[in-house]
Amino acid sequence: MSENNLLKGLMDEFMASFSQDSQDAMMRRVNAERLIRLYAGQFIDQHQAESIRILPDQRLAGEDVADFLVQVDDYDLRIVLIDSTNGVPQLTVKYIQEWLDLLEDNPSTAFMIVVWTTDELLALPFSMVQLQTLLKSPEQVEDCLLNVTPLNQLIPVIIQQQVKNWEIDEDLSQKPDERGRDCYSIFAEKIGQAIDKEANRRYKIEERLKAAQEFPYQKEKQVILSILEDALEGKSAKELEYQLTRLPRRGSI
Amino acid sequence: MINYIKMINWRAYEQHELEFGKGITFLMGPNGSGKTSILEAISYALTGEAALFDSKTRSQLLRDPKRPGTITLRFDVAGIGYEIQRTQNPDRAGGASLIRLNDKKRLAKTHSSVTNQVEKLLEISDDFLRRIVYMAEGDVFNFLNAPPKDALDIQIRTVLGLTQLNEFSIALKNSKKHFRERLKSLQDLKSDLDRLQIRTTADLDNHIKVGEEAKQGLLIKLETTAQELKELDQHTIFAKKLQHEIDNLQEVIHDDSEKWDGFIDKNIQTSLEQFQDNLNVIEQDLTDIRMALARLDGQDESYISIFELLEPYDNSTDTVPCPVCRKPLTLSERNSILKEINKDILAIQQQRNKQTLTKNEISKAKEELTRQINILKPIRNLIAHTDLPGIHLQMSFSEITNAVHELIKEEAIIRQDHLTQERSTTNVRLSELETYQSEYFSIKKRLQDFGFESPEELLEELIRIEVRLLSIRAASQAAEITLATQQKTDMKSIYQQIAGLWSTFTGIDGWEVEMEKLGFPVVINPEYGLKLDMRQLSGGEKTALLIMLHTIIAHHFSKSDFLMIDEPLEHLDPINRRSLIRFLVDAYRHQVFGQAVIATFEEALIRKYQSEEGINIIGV
Repeated sequence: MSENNLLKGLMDEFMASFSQDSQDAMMRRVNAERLIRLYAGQFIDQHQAESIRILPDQRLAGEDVADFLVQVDDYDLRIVLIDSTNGVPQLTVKYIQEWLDLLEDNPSTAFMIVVWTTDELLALPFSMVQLQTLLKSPEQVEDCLLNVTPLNQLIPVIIQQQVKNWEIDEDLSQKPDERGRDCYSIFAEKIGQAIDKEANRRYKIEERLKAAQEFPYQKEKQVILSILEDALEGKSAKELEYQLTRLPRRGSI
Repeated sequence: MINYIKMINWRAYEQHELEFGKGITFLMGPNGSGKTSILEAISYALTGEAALFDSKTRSQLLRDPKRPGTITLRFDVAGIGYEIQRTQNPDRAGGASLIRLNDKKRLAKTHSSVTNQVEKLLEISDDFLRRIVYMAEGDVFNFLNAPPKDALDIQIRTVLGLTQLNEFSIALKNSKKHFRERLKSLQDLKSDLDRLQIRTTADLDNHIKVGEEAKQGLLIKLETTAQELKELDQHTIFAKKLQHEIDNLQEVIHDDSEKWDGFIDKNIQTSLEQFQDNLNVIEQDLTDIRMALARLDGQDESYISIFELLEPYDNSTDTVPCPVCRKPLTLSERNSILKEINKDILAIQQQRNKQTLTKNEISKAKEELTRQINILKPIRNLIAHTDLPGIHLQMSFSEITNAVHELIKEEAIIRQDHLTQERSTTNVRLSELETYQSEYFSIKKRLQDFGFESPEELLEELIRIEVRLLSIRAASQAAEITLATQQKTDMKSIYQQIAGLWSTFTGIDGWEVEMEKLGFPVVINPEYGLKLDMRQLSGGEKTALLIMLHTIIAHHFSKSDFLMIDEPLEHLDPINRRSLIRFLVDAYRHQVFGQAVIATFEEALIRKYQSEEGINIIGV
């Protein structure tokens, strides 16, 4: 969305805010919205590469609140403004169910971010799990409020937390100077030498001597390599043992 | 690099073709849309095997199981393009070919030769290619769910094939044991064959035949000996009977030597015949005497009759009629006649007495002769009917006596002993022969029990086992060398790169590789006293580690800079999914790999990167 569209959206939200009863409250809200708009502009500029969008959420526009939608990757954050009469964040339980319903209806929304119309835009993020906990234990609301953080600090932290950056070591893209050889290749080379070594030993037992003298090199090597292939494909020792102990047909040696 | 694939009658596709570019190609679509079919088709084209289907289930790769399926794959290596075509028929493998595209030369035309050529081109074996380049469905899941303590080592060893090599080594060891046990029992049989000098069926049959013949000979001999012994027993019995008769006769001769004078040295048959002749003469004499007596009796009776006729004289008459002619006889005539008659009667009486005396004498002689004959007859009969060796009727009594004595002495003591001994020896020999024969039959049975029809088959089996044992010994050595080589060089190198990667994931520098006692490398951090511990990683990090591991190994072992990954994001939470996609894109940007085909259903995440160079998205 272009900057013009964002401003148009903000103006719409601003017009909606005229329904505020209290003039002071309206002024605080207008101020807060302005601050959010300014902050949104800066934030989008700073995070162009990440394609983050902040826009007014028309669906949430109502009499008391004007809200924003922050779209990042495959998730979004929804900002809800709450009036703070004395500059101190306060929260009533009546909002909690409403926000919980909203999160349940929008699986892509990761957090509801509640922003109080204070000068610092103090804010608190709520996940679905946290809202469910507060509904069950409203007495924890006061404790939550102790964690309020200015919105401009909170948003980057939340967005950062939604993705981990695993830096790629430059070495990993460097192909090794000398290529390794897979175990099949090593084995295929070594089996020939091992057969020669075994076949050239001096045997006393007649059959062993004859086996060494008449050893069908190619056939046996092929059998062993074929069974090794099956081993490398994941056949069990028992299955492999069965193959190894299957002798060639009579008369084939 | 993979450039193009065409699938006909292949799993999800009736006919479908796709082109691939350099970089990452995301195959996107819901489950069952055919993403895995494409990866399997690439794997099948390159290696002749699909990861999820073996030769028995390969026909399930066909969409219509009654028609053949064909895969055409184009790829290039070092700037030269190649085209593989493989066909799978419903019941067997179909045709295959590998063509070099610049000169249209056909490099291979069978499945196995295509696989071999691809192995040469990529410098990687087909199974290695399947294990490393293609991370099939479930590979990531298995890695994530493996026990963290050994997961990385197991994965590296499995990907390198060392776990499988170890399994192969176990199979070699077990096979060696199996063959040694079989050899032991076969060699027992073989040593028995050697001991009995049997090399061939002919040897065995000949031994059995000769043994049978010898046995028959011994049985005949036994029968003969038994017969001889039986005869000998009979002879002894008869000889003893004869001896008894001879003893009786000798007693008789001793008591009345005169009557037997000359008998001893005469032919016994002749003596008997002489006795018989004498007896006949005596019989004749007796007959004559009886007849003479009868005549005398007749005369006497006649005279008595006449006398009786003449005798009744009553003094009333002067004459009496002649009893013959009825002429009247005077008294004197009558008396004269009577006188004459009395005289005759007296004479007859005297003759009768004489005859009777003679008769008595002859009868006595006859009686004596009969007694002699009766004594001689048993001897004659025994000799005539028993066929005693060395004794016959033409011999004299003294000769017979000596012969019987010798017979009893020799047969009873010497010959019988000899025959008994012979019978005993024959029985021993027969027993030995039967033992000997039983060994041959036992060997024949043992050969049959082992499934051999001949000793030659046993010898051949022993050689075949020794051949395979030689292969197994050689394979064990080769496996050991392979393992040692991989541990010392390749594994160490891979673990060094893992150590670098570990720093990225843990944020701690100083990870190094150390070789443990068994020769396997381990990643440690001496500065912090840490060991590589998979529990430190999230699922996404583990997946990233796995992909990097495959990439590192692919780099290390082959010319391939190509990866295929099936659903790497499936089991990850959103944060790790995002992180992994970013990691993969970064990895490509850093040229960690040249081309990757990744199947995923995470469209929302991928779309973000679709405008970037090298990122291709194919909706499936």
